[in-house]
Amino acid sequence: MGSEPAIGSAPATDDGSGRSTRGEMAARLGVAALRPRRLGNQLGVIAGIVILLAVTGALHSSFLSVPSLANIAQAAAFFGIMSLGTVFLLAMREMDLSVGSIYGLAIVVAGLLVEHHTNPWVAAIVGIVLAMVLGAVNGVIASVFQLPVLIVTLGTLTAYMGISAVLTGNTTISVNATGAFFTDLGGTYLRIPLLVYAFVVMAALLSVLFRRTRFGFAVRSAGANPRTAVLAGYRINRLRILVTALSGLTCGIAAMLTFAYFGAADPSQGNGYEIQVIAAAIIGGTSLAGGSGTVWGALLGALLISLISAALIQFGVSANASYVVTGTVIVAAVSLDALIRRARNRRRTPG
Amino acid sequence: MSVPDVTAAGGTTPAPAPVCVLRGITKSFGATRALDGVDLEIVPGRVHAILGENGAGKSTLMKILAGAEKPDSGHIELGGQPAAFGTVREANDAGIATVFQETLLFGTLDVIENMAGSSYPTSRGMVDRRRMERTAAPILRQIGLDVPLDRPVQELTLAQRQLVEIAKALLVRSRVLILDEPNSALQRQDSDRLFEVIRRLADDGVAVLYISHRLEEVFSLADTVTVLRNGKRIASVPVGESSIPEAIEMMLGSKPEALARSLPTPAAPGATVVSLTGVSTGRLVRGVDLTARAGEIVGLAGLDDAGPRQVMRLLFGQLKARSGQVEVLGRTGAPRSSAAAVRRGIAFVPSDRAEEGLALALPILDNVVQVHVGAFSKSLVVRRRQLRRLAARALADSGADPARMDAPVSELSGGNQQKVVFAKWRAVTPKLVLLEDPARGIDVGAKAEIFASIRELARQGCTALFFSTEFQEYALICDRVAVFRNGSVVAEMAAGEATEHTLLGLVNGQAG
Amino acid sequence: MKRKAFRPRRLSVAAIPAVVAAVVLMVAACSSSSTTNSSGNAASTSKTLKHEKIALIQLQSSPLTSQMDLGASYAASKANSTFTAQGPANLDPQTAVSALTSDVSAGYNGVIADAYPPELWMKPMADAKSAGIAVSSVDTGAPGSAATFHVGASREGLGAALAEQFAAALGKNARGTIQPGICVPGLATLVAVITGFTTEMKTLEPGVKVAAAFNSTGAPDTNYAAWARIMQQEPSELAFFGVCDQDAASMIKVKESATNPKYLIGNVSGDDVADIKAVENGTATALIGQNGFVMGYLAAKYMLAQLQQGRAMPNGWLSSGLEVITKSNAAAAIAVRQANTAAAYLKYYASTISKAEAEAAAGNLPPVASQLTTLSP
Repeated sequence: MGSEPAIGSAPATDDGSGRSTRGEMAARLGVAALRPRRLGNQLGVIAGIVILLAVTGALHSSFLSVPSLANIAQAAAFFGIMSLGTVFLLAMREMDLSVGSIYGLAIVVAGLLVEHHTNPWVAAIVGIVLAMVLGAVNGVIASVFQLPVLIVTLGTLTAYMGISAVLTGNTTISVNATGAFFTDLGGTYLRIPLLVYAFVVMAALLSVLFRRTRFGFAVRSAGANPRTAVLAGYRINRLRILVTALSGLTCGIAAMLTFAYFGAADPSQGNGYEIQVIAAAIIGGTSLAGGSGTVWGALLGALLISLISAALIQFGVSANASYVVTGTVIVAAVSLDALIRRARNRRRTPG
Repeated sequence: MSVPDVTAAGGTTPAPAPVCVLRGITKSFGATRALDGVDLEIVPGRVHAILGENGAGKSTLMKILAGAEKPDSGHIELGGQPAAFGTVREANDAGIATVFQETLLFGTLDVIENMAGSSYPTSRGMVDRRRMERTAAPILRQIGLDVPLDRPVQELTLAQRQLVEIAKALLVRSRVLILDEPNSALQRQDSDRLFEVIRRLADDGVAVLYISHRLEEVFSLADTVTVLRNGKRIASVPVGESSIPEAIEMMLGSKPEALARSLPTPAAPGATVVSLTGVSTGRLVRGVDLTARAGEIVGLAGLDDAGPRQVMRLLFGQLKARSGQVEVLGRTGAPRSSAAAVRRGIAFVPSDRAEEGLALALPILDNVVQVHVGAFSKSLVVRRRQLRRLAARALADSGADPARMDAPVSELSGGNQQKVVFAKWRAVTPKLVLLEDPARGIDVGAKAEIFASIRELARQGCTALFFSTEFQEYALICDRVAVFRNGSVVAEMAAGEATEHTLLGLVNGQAG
Repeated sequence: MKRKAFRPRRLSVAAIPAVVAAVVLMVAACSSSSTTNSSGNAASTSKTLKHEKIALIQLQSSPLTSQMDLGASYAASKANSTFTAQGPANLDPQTAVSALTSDVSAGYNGVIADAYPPELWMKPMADAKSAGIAVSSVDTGAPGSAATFHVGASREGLGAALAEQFAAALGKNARGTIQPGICVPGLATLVAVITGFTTEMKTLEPGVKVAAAFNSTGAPDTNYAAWARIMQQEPSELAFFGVCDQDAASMIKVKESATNPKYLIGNVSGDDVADIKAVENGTATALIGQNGFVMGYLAAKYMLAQLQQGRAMPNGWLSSGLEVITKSNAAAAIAVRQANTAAAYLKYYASTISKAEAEAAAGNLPPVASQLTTLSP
């Protein structure tokens, strides 16, 4: 029961069959993930990035140099990798505020392990697994008590941060940052830090996961109408735990790459990152309403946020004014998201 | 302009001047033209019914009048003055009150609070609930809504919520009252009471605009009938000058006999698929005995909370049985969750498709393949091409347009949306289908297609349990009917005996 | 999933880049003109000096960092250069480090950083130096990093100075306990202050015991609650003191509403006029200021000297001194802060600055790490 119809038996009136053939070939070539669909959604962010680069570059040519751009991309990657996971959460109408704390705690634990002579690669795996578990804990608590993940993470945000502080006694852990782990993962290739390459690769993988797997479909379904999804046989609790674990995974990977780069672990790392993480996803086009999202958009959103900070530094704008700008862009992005949703709702149900 | 008018009571009186006039109203949604140059005159003291198939434009026309949509062209006159409404509130203030098809109440607020809306009476700056209750009580009594006034509206049944909606509109004493399928979920006696109220309002001089699919009702209640088809006005006639068959012909452009014949004949039933023995859930299901066999369509008739809906939800893992034996599809015990139910091969078509049957913001394709991808697809990856084929076939089987898959399902009319819900389940070839009022708010044409789809499923060996708030449907689609009253089965009969009168009597405690 | 017929999107899509570009350009235009305007009120002298662009990266915003900015921006304006303050609003070392890396490609000639935590700054500072940028540190130093010149207050010295004032107020041969509070337990720079206090107090008053510091927490409301609890539970302590800015305000508030309090209070912080007023009226015994203006001024001055005149910054830690605020000089301390101009601060800190300059000129500055271990100011 429920098996797919035999090929060719259906009265195939589906349009776009030619496109699907190309799509299948592209998938075989493994390039499908890199082709961002629905460019329209991201047009705004891309235009913003291009305009900012053009304007700032015209006035200060060094802004467009490779080291400068690499730095912007790296600063984006620190929190942007976590945004990729947040897309899944937002698509399910959930939000995880503890991402920064999970990130920080994972770095601290890895740092402590290395300080006590653990192999850094092992420490990194522990850090990543720990981050996944911490994320899953959010999902489990939310599912057992039927609370929004947002509420649960209001608590775990502080709890995880507290654990970091306790473990380190508020001091920085410095390790002997030699060895392949730090030089390879924390190194620069073709003048671009590895962190940036990892960011792009993760965006590609997670984009495929979101758009082309059953898991991604389930997440979007559950976000579009949770009640209907339940009545269609989806196990929402299980999904929720998987999604929060995935978010934790992205935190863990970001954390370990950061650890490799700095070679030090400080309990204040990741403090307050949740705002930028969520903002990047929203600016990139993932709606708070749930049911849809874009992973590449989150990457672009993170780049835009980082770019704005860099441009402001370039123009010599003081720190305080920078917040006004970044905050304005976030408000603008969220408002536009709401406007678009309202316009869409007004066109409902003719006849 | 004075037009000779024949009221339902007979006799000719010159009609008063229209209180509201629409001229040349046109409205499109993207590529769909919903209304094409429609004219309408609404006259006070008359009940004016709008008839039409799904997609004919009835709801759009009504929404434009109600202030929820703006026409692309054409104009509206109210009381002789040009009028334009930007919001429903503006329309309300101008004297046009609307009761929408999907209830627009605030679930967590109670009956009184919902009725008051934003015009809560105040005394000395503070909210005066007593006065509100005093004002509201007689109206609620008139309508026959007998619930505690402080009950949160989300705890009421759909039928009760609709009554609150109507009460809310009545409270405002509008010049024009628009009703969009208000009693599609109401039982007969509630309907009758509503008609009395409407009649009385009309006698008081209110102009009532009434959209319904129930032709018998329309012809007994309305004074004037306007038929829309494909966005155009076909005719506006006094009710006395027309007839139901003529109305159907105007609506569909074809003869009604053709539809009735198109339902395929039932096949012989097979092994027992569903068996309930003494099943109770506490209050709403009390010692139910029921069986259903493969290929059978069994009707579960009853009033709103008499047990049929609850039995279905129990079989779908949404309710737990406290006692009794349940056997479904060869396994003992009802499914523990909807996920388990789906995987066993059970399908559920809920009465509230917007809230429980569809993800309105997602494309039609995503909705149709939703169950398949969730529970039955064997690959981790979503294979677009295969899914499109699957969806196309399921849509075609359900009488929907298989070429149109990428638009969001919210753009479809009610009947087409329901077909999408059907397609969703046909795509996974269920063995048991639970139909909770599948033809609610659906026009004649779509209903016929959906019933044909159900029959087709039964012919392929699927079992169906069927519930409806319209008793004449049972004889049309079921093989046999179990009648519920107060949570238990009080009678069982073959379809031939399940006439509207018999069923109505039994559900209300009269001997058959 | 091809057709997206939502027309409103096109309009709003174009809006985002417009908004972003407009806001950024507007802010940049206003801000760059204001930095050149606000860089000091003294008319720019010596137009023969080459224009340099320097920045100071702080870890967070506070009255102390505003002082630093004022000092550095004055030094820059005197030297025909531009100064920008950078850094996050709240403690976020990673962002601060990113700012340094951005500065490298943003055409800054020199960057002064509050290098906390030092380990995070090692690599970026080395990269900056090899890119030709002058780097130095202020307030928190990074021993062993490319920032070989560091300006800051002696952490233990701050504590010792407060101990001196308390001892003077307690009189000879006092007996009892003093209770310190720490807003971030374990933080090295804060712990050093308490260590300095304890060491000095042991020498001056052997009969007085300094208890282990309790956690007074960072947020102002929890800070107040923590101090209120401790001070009300143990009013028989000889004295209370804290090492963070908000501790002063909390202690003062608790003491003012206490009936007949006998204990002394004091703090290591000095930039809040309201707190100094409490010293003036005797509620608080003393405040030890960290001379933020001096830190920023000296750091910027020596950096610009290196950039413009080739006079290399000295290696090591240059103490920016400390400010002991007691009843006798509270009025003057308040006056200069209310005036809040570079000229007023210069005059007020004149002796501190010339002492530091003399020390720098003499060479042989102590190593950067000793900022946390020397008792002397």
